[in-house]
Amino acid sequence: MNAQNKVIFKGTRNGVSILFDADAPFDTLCEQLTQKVEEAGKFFDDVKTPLTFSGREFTEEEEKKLLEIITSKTTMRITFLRTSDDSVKNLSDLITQDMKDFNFTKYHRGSLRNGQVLEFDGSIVILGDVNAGAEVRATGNIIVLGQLRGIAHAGCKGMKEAFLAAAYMAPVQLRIADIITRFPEENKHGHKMAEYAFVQDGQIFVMALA
Amino acid sequence: MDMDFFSFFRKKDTPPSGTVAKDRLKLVLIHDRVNCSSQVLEMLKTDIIKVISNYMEIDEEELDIQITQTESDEQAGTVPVLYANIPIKSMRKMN
Amino acid sequence: MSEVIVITSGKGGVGKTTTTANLGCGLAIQNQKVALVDADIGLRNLDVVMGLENRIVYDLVDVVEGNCRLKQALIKDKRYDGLFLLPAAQTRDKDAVSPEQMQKLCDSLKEEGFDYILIDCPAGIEQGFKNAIAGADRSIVVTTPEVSAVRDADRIIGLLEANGLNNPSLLLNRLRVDLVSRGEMMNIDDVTEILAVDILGVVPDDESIVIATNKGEPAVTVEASKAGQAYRNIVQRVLGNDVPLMKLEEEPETFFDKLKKLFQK
Repeated sequence: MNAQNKVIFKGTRNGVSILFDADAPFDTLCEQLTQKVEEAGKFFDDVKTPLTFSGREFTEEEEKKLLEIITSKTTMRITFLRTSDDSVKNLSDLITQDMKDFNFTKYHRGSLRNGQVLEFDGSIVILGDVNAGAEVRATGNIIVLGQLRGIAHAGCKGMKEAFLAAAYMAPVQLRIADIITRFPEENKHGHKMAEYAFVQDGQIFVMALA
Repeated sequence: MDMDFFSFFRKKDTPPSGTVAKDRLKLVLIHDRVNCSSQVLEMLKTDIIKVISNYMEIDEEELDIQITQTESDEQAGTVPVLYANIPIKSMRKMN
Repeated sequence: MSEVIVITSGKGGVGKTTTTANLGCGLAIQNQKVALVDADIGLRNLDVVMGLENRIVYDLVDVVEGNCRLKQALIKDKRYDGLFLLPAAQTRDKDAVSPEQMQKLCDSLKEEGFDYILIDCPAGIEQGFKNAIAGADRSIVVTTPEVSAVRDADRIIGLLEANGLNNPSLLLNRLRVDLVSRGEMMNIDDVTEILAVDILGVVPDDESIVIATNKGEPAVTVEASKAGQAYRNIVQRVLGNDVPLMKLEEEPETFFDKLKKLFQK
């Protein structure tokens, strides 16, 4: 591999392959990749192809950065990414990982009855009631646009910043992250405003949504 | 008023519902316990009549076959028994 | 010495759960260490009858599946020190547990040092029933003086005996004294004659049961309750003490009683 050319594009039977220099600093590789992609101009536009990174190992972060360079400069449609160790990674996996920080939200229309469980990796919005004996578990936030009378567990994988809101809150228990409280009996009756629950100083607080 | 008048008379010869319940239950349980339906009992009845009729003339009208209970000799409590009351009109001549 | 007692009936709605809760509380009042096990997976109710529904974090299935330790799932009663509840799972069904697992669970509860382990059996004769009786040493069959309930009780007694649980004791629930005295309901003798088992006790139909259940406080704790008194007697019999059957006939009202009632209105 010559000294200047640290990034080489190759067309193979298995789509486009990019060969990276094994010893060059990562920033140099990024620079060269940017340059090459710009030079290629419209050549890669709308090309639907699998992509292979070879020549060296990249961390997930680095891989993402390289992909970003390619996708920002061209409209190449990468179907999947292959790394040098030949393990095929589904691109949607990478995207999902990225999107998780923004929390997917599941919208559930209808009420949950005794014995039903709704679980989701993300946040949940329920357009209906959660009856006693039903359970809602979300790794993110929970919003119930109805009566909450069952068990709701927001941030069930440990996210303490998660909140829980209901148009009418009268649950058996409230759970946020690993904190569990009983909902006070005297707050379960009569007319009241929508409320939300959150964690502060290791305790669950419930306040009216003004 | 009419209804009340008649029910006043009827009450005397119909047993109270508690007794009716008990009697019905006894019958149901006897069948439950031996796992014998009334259909099976009916088939048993016709078979018995068939066999006995080979040897004697019986009064089919007065025939009474049922499964009831009797005190068990060996174990405490009751065991089911097949009870048959078959009036004989006359013996058949056997050749 | 600890004993596992399964409370069963065959027919639903005759008062298994109410009986389990009352016997449990009654035994705890007598300073026994008691564990109540709700084996009605998917349709749990013992927790609400005991008023402990908002304390449930783990349940029976969690213990069996090893998601938590037995001690974590046992809920301490709010009134009595020696009383604990192991709630059923609500979001699962009866197949989540096998008879072998129930047997093991009963053994672990015995090791925990409980004097009595009461198992609230689900209605029916299927998987749930088989699970509930798996670890039992003794059984109580609950029935009401109705043809349907007594018939199912008979079936259950047969199944219990087939599974080695001989001599179940009978609890006759919801006896209406007024109806019995008019001959419009089967009496104690009618039922025991038909089922031919020992009678453990008779509980009169009593509105205090409804009131107590509404509040989540078993009637056995209510001094003035007739049904409560009946359960207190039954507790004594479970403990092995000889207590005569309660007199259920109502005292004829005197003129003064009537007068008093008139003024109370």
